[in-house]
Amino acid sequence: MKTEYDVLIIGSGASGGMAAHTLTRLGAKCIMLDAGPMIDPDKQRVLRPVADLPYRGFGKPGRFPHVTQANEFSANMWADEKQNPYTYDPGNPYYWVRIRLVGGKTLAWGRASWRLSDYEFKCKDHDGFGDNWPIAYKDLVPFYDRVEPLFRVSGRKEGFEQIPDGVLLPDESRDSLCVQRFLASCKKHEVPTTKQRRSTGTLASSLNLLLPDAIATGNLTLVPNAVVRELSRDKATGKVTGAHFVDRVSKREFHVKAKAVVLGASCLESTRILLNSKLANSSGVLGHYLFDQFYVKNVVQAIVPEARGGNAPRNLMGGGGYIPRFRNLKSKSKDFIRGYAYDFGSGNTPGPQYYSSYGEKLWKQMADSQGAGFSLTTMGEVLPRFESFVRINRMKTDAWGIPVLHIQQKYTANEFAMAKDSMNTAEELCKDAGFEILAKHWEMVPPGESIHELGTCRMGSDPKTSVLNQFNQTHDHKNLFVVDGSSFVSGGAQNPTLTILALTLRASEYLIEQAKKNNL
Amino acid sequence: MQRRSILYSMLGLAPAAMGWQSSDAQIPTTAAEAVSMGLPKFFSAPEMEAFAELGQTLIPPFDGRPGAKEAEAPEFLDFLLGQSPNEIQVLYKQGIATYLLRRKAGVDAALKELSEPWTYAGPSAPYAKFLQAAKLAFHQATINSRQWAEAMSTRSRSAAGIGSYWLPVE
Repeated sequence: MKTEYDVLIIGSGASGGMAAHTLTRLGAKCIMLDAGPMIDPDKQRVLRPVADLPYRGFGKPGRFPHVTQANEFSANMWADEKQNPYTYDPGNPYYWVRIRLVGGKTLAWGRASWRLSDYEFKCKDHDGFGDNWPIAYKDLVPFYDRVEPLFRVSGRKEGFEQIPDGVLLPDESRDSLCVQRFLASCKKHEVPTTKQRRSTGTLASSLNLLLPDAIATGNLTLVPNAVVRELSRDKATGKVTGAHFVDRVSKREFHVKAKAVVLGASCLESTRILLNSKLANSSGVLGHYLFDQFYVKNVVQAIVPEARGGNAPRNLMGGGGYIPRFRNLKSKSKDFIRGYAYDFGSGNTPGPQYYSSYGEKLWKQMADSQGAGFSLTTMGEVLPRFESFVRINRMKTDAWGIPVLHIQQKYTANEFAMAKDSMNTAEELCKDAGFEILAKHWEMVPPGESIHELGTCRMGSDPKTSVLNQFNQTHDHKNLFVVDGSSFVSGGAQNPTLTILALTLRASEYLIEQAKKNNL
Repeated sequence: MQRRSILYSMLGLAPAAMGWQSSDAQIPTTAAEAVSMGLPKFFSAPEMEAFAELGQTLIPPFDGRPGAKEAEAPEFLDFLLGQSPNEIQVLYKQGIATYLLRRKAGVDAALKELSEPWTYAGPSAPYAKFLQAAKLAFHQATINSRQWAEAMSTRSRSAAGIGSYWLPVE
């Protein structure tokens, strides 16, 4: 007779790792299934000259049609698109970017760690669109406070209501002269600025910050290469009883039993598992309200004139920062609701695509602007809409015979208006800082490319319009929890990982409380 | 490390051509591209000649750095195009055919589309799209070449073109 575990955790990234970290330390016997292999990041990566790579850094053509982040150096890290297909309507491409390794996307995340605020949690109260979360910012504060030290988040406290301060390692770094000029321009235009808030350390991953502590309790059994087909259910009680999974390598089928299940397989994979299992969808909204954050990469590429020709004085170039949302806080924009943020940085060298030249003239222009660049990238809030959704495409299966997702998401007039506003504003800020505008645009990357996919399994107080309650517990099955980004009701412009971690910590402690009361 | 470099030079092999994992590579090896010429596969001989000429026009040698020709970028891109998706192959095949016709009026006339200002989406006309794609591809293939790395190693102490490479997981 095999063990029946207290909790089955599916996924080992930010949410799965945080669930394991919390549940095992509270004494629960957990089993974790991850679809990918176990790796040692120190041994997995080596220094190589690009000229020694078979494709000179271009990568094998056609290997990753939807992963613009993949280059030949990182190609072996990303999930294989042929083994893990999905579909979309040809006119509406969706870029689903995945990593299938133990540690998940925390092996490669950008580490930006911002709190959400009541501008997100109570968004409907603010502008009337969509739905509020069933929690307020104050409900999540104690959990943010515990997650930030764990991930060693650095930043600067500013007192901005839209990005609340947290438990931060102080960032006392000085700004370069060009950044100081840009900050002064922002101040003149009443645009807020701050330092980046980032998790720090050589590796800031579930693999080194969460899983080792969980393993050390003796309460975690980790099974890599376990591709979950579907969850199992007891028809009499309605409770989930475990999961059917396939060994990734041998394709042998298995079943594991548990008293409770925590899904943290990543936003769309968790929803795919639920849809394939025909669970948690009495509301009919499972799979719906898919959204992300739109990016306009290098919305403005500028040049700092004094740095031209390699003549930058000491301390002129280098460094960057962050502009949090500033639209639709106290006043209202006529063109759109919600808002956007920017990352900005200096000291880059604009690529050859920006110059209408070739030959020696091109070389001279590039040499002249080497290290003189200043650029901004827009990250904007996308409105959650019922019409943006995922469903199971039963006509297509993955390498393990599991039906795949069909994904449909389109940006709408609100996002387009926001993107255009972000270009005009960035141009104005750069010009007032004395920078030359080399290029500007407001083309958003395709939905999904920001790797901030959210929703499809959203929280809510009403079981008729939501899948999860305020503790990430499914309304339909008391012993089933979903803790990744699929639970979001709205997302703001902030990178979501810190909130996923805080929500998971909260949900995991609730699960233990309820288990002790025999309420699951 | 110095002893190893001396050994490599005695063997007539450039250090840049060596396997980078000094702890694992007990037997020195070299990449094929360092000692041999890739054979053309995608373009015909006349097309290849025109493609190489285009590469050298777009990305010539400059300030002691190799150009596309010296970096053997045309040969490398011919190999890359041979494995590329069909729409890319069509773009380059049709593009080089148009270039062959247009260059009779002079190279500047053949490349006038490159003077159009930058847009995020890039040009929509196939020939202009080809020229823009070729310009970027020749540039990247040149600066990512062994010849470029060797030229830069004499000018700068920074390690040009070295990155953290993910080994195949299994």
